[in-house]
Amino acid sequence: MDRNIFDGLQEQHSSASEMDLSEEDNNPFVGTHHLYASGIGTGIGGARPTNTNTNSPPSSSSFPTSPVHSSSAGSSRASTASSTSSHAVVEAEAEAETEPFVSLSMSTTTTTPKNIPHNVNGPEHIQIIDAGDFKDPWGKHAIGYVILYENNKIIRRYSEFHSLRQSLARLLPTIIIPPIPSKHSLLKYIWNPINATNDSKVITTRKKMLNSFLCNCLNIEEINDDIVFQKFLNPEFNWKDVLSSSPIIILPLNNLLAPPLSPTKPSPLHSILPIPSNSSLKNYNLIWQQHITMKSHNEVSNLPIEVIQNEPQFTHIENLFQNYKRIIALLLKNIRSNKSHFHSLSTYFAELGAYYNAFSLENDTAMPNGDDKHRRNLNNPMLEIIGHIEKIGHSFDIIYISSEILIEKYNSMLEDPINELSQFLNESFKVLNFKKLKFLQYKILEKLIIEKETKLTNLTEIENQLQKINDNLANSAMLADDNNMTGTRGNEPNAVKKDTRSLSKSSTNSSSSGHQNEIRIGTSKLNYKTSTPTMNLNKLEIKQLTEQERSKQIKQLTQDLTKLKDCLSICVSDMLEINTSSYKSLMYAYNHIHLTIAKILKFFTTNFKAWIRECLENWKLAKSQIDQSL
Amino acid sequence: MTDKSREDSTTKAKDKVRGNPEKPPYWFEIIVSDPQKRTGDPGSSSGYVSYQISTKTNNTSFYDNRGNSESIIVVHRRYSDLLLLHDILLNEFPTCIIPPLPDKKVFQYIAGDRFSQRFTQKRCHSLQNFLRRVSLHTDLSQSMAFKTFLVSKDWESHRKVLQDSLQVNKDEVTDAFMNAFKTVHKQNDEFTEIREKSDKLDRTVTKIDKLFHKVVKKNDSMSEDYTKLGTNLQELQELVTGENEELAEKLKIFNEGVTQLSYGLQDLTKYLDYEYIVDLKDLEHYIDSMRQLIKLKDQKQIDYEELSDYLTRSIKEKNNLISGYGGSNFFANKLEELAGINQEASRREKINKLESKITSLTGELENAKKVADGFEQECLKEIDHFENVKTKEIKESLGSLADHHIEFYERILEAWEKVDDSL
Repeated sequence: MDRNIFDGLQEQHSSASEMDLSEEDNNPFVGTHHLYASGIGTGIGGARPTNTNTNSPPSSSSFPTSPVHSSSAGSSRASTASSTSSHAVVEAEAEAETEPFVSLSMSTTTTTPKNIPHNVNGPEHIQIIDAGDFKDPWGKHAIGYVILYENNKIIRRYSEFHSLRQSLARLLPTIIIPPIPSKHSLLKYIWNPINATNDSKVITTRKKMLNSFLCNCLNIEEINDDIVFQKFLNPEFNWKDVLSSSPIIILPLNNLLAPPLSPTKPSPLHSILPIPSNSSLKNYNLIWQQHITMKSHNEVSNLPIEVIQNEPQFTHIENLFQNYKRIIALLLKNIRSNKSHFHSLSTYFAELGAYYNAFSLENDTAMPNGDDKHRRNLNNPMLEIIGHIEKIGHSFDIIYISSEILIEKYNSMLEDPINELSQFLNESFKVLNFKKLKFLQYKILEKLIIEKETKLTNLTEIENQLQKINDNLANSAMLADDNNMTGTRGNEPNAVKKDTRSLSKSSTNSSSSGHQNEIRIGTSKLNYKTSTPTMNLNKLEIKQLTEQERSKQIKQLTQDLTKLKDCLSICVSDMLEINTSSYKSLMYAYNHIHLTIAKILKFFTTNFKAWIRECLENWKLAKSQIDQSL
Repeated sequence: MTDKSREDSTTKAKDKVRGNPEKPPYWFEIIVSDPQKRTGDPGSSSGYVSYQISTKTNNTSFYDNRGNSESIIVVHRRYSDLLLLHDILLNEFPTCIIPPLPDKKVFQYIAGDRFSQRFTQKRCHSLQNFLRRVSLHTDLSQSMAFKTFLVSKDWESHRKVLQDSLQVNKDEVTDAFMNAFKTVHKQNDEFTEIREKSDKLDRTVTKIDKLFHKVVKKNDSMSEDYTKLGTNLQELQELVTGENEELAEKLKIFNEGVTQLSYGLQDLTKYLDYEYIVDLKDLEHYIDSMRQLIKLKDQKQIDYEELSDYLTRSIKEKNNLISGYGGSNFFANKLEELAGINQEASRREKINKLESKITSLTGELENAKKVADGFEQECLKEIDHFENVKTKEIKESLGSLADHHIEFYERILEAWEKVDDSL
């Protein structure tokens, strides 16, 4: 079932423009997910659609707005929004509807939708129509961005966008959340503390990029269907309230400790999973290679075949994205230097224009003063070419202006989208890292299980041997002593030998695994299980244990093992979920990146061509006037 | 008087000008091209650069020693040959604005890149400007030296003769420095205006020239940017090739546009650097030459003014003697009286002396006046001519500036239209 996605991949490669969202049908985790979710999240998730269930029949959800398809989602949401709008109105939004905006005097902010090289033609149209100063309910001034969506005007601040993104990232760890422009740099604050936050340039850029963010979000089904995102676009909700209510407040601290597709509904076992450290990520490739090459593990080490098969695809995408990132950084550097060169060139044009114009004027004004010298002035041949000089000066003026306009556009047509691309790539790496961490988590569990199993075998072995000895002793006591003396004597050393052998084996085993534990587990939650004092005892100590203690330990170990194995199976199913979901998201990003590059190229070409044409026409005009008066 | 010889040439030149119409009777088309490095004579240490000079004219005498079939006369000359021509013209036509030659550029000789393309191309264009200016001048274009220079197949022998003739008159130049710090008392308004105008023009041209230097530099770094951008795009294209063929193709096409842009910009820059800036520089030099001529004219006038001063003083002295004892001469007269010298006789003698001096001075003055006036007229004529040539040149260079820009934009528009169509 799952493999279909990856088989279908090849097609996706060729048809980049088509984002096949119907793959969702293949989601194999609908069932498993429910298994985990049904236990806990009833109280919490009531108002929230389970995002993986988009294709399950709507009847399974308890609320009417649950979107089935993205197209129908729009209309249904609109209806709810309009129906509720007459009811309770939150303070801030009440202000919003009475137009609290004092529009800034920025001519550029009055939107040029053409400038946004992103999908504005999608089924759901969203647009930031204005940005300006407004007072929040507490009387504080802030820059608000007016979102027009489904005939509603929603005002959100940049910080609210920021927290939305963060929440989404935690709610949907397997989804690449589209980026928003980064926060103000500290340097800017130091430089210009008063104007840093309402610098019109920053606002314009943000407006554009936030618009692009919203469009991107709408194109990603998982985000579009998320209740938090929907609340963001609903003027009924005060964002602060949304942030301080479920599902956001019940999010686990670490997404590794929750089901990847519905982090608000963790199974009890999720909370006891180990957390691999971020620093172990760099060993990922090595650990993965070891895992693949060492086939000799017991049955717990067997990852689902899909996971192993999908890995090369992930590796490929990661490498590709890394390379993209590198080149994009180079391109950005390139474009910036070109921009500054272009800018100084255009200032030279401005100066040239000024000098040529002065040149023509100089000769012009020289005439009237010299009336008495009429002979000279009438014959002055310069009179003839004043017009030419002026024309050339004019040409330079025009080129200066159109170049400045083009340079101004460099931001919106090159730098911003390329920056966004690079952020997109970084977000992709986050998702990839999440997937890797899950695997590392799995490896820790696996190690623990192997370790515990070894201990258990050791213990049971000793137990058995002692049992045997006891039995033998009992037997010999029961049978005639003299008859079987030789037999028991032969048996006993044997048993002792076996004992020592297994002892040495287990001690090496435990020491090595203990060492690895230290590295990989760190301060994981599972430690309290391994670190029960008895667990660290070596064989000698085990031997000294009483029979009672031994059996208690065996019992404990068996319990731990079942728990761990449950954890492992959860982990494995998490991995499958992550693989499918993140692969889908990565493929979206993959196509999105290619589309965006193509759009940037196209957009730049159109603008650049217009610039060339303007310059050309201008020079042609100048030339024709020069030729005319010849 | 040292002015004698110059005076002669002046009047000679004047006659010539008067006899001829404003425009030179013949037209010339001169192209200096193809600078080529030549190894020098076995004796001399380093090589030189030879320029090909192609001439086309309606002056049939230029074709005398050539076959009729030849419509373009091609000769090869080097910089020092042009320098010689320049000096000869300067010597032969002291009242003319002799077009300037490009600087000797001693620095380039030391730096050793006088054979670089940039240097020779620029010089080539500048030399062409020089020859064209000469050809536009009525007198200069009809001089023997010019003709010989453009036509002669046996330039080497001519050169020696011309060089020798030049040696003789070398001393005259020193004369020019004598009055260098004196200024004209009564400057003609016309010349004041001319001077002001030329100063203004010079300033403007210098500024524009400097700006174009900056533009050239910026253009260079721009085209470097585009080259780098091209390399990065190329890499991106290679990466994308396995992933999205359509995009790879687009990137390739886009990159084509960037490359065209880079090349186009390089060509435009070359034009600006090798030709337009050279034109501007030459114009600056030409203005300098004109100022030199005005200075020379001023000297003639200074000569005349001094002479007339001297004359007035002499007349005054004579009048004093005639009218009796001057107050200042009282003690001197007394002494002479005591010495028993015949006052009356010595006074007569003095008056006679002064009278003859005055007569000769008056003659001189008339002469000087003639020279100065003649020179001034010549000068004005020359300045008229200069104005014409200057205007023509500015017009032409502006036209070619526009042409090259049009060419550049047309080229990249074509390239980017292709890009736009394919995207």
